[in-house]
Amino acid sequence: MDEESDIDAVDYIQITRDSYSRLGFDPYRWASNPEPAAFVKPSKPLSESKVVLIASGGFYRFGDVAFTHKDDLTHREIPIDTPTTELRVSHFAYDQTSAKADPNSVFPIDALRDMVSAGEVGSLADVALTFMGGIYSQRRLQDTLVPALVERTRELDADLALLVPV
Amino acid sequence: MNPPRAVFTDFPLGNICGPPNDRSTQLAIVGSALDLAYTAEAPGVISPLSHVWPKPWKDEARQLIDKRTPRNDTPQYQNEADRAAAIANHGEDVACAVC
Repeated sequence: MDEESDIDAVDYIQITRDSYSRLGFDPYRWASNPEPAAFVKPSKPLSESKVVLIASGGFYRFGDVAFTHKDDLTHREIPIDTPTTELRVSHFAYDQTSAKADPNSVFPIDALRDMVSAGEVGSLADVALTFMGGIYSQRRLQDTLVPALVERTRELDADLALLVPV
Repeated sequence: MNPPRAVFTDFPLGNICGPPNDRSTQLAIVGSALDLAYTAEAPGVISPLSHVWPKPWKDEARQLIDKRTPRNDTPQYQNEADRAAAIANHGEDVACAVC
């Protein structure tokens, strides 16, 4: 894509390729989505919209069950009024120094709450949806985790979904 | 991934929404992402943001040192107090498969 040609991004992907090969698997086959993504223009202004935060990164709430570090296909639901001090993180594949110092580095719950307070965002869904990410099986991701997230997002009646990968 | 639209922040892995405790930058990035829902005209737009990480980091990141943890298939808690709280709430069978 043209926009990407100006980006001097670090090729972290190579770590995944190498790591996957070391596990004894055949070379990793990346998902290919040749069809354009579904594209829907928002029907309401942001100040009247309900936003759901959906984040990989391994966040859970104190007292809840953490994710495993092996293709965890479950998700957690973090009540949107959860104090930031009760957020926890455990992930197999990235340095969580920042995430532990301030979850908003990868899970911008306070930023979103501030935007609601300021009237910039209408409201937030009752829960944020979180998962581990780094799941090597596309099939299991598409068959199990993604349908669960889609179903919950619909039930939460959100107008916009903010997806935050790591 | 194939999101309908995306913003890109050129930050070290694990800081996609901005430096820790820098709320103004985090707010700007989240705001830009949400605004793009309104301004993008076609699917697949990737909009690089202009924020710059406050200190050099790419040379180290490009060493691509793999610090991944082993593929444990039991819950991996941030700390032991979390494990104890999860066991109290959910029972050992769920919260702690190998305790």
